[in-house]
Amino acid sequence: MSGPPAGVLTEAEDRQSTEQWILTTRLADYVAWGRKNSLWPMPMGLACCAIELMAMVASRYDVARFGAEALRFSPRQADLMIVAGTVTKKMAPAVKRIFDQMPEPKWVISMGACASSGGMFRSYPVVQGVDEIIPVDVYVPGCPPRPEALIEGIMKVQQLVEEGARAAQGGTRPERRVPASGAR
Amino acid sequence: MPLSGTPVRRPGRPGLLELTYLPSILKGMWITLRHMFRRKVTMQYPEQRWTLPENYRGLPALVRDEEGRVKCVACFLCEYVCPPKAIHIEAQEIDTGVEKGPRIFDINMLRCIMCGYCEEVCPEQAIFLTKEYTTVGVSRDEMIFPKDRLLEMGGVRPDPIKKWGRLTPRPGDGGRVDAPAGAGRSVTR
Repeated sequence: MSGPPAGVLTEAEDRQSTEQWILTTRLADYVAWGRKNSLWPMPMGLACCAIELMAMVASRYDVARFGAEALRFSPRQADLMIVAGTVTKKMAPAVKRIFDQMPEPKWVISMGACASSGGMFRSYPVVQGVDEIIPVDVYVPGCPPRPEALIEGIMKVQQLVEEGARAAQGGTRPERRVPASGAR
Repeated sequence: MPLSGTPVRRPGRPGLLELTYLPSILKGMWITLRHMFRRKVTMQYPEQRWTLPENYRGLPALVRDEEGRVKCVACFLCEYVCPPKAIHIEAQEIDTGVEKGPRIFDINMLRCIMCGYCEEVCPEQAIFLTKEYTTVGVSRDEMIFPKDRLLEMGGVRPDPIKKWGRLTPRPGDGGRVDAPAGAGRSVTR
């Protein structure tokens, strides 16, 4: 037998020993913790950026360390869309539909120059930034970005997931950013 | 020789041992076990970084000379040569009266493809590609880097080209005027 007999512990001591073992948290924080460490990306690979996206998932950079290795090719099982590549006007409806098919909550990374702003394709068949059709949370510059930069983007999304949970506790949902107009 | 080969046949019925699946499982486990003792290939990214080559092309940045002056003379060559037209410059007169300088120098990093043409074309060696490659942003406006940020990124890079040479003659120079060393530069020292 270990420990003192019943009735010896004071109330404060008792509470202290309980708090040592029980972690209290808010449900929203707990859910956000789970969400941010198990992002399931939807690889929207449209051009050469997709090669770097694959490199990020492969063993050298191994995005499994961030819990985001389960690339789902079905939008209904994904919560993070990584738009990697040039979004043409022809592909835009498909990108939009796939985004709409993803269940809430969902986040979007715009990877590379083409997806973020059209890049060097300042021409009529290319959408000048995927944020003209879907709301983008994180922009990753580069042509193409290195896998490290994309990992940096995923870490940023994880941060946004946490901040979103905090904002939700305050009663306000984090608002989607509307792409700025003007000189691009 | 007949053009058609022999068709591949399915393997025959598995034996009793194969029906237990034990050999296949053990084979798979053996491969896993072997990989545990191999060299680790994963780079633990945020802690561990890649050693960049000397000529790595990251985000572009403006540089100052060793006296803290902006080297750029707003000649618009980089804006002209930039394939995605990511650079936006507006020129202004500067206090020294020699040449001019940029009032606004914006680079849209979401347009930039880090090709290095700006660095290559710059007659004053005022713009360089840094080794920065992990910057991400949450909005487009944030990713349009203004002049101050570009100068901060670039830092100081002293080099022989001095457009200010005419203002601050070196001791022993004696007001000697040489022919310009590089094409496109009208400044003599």
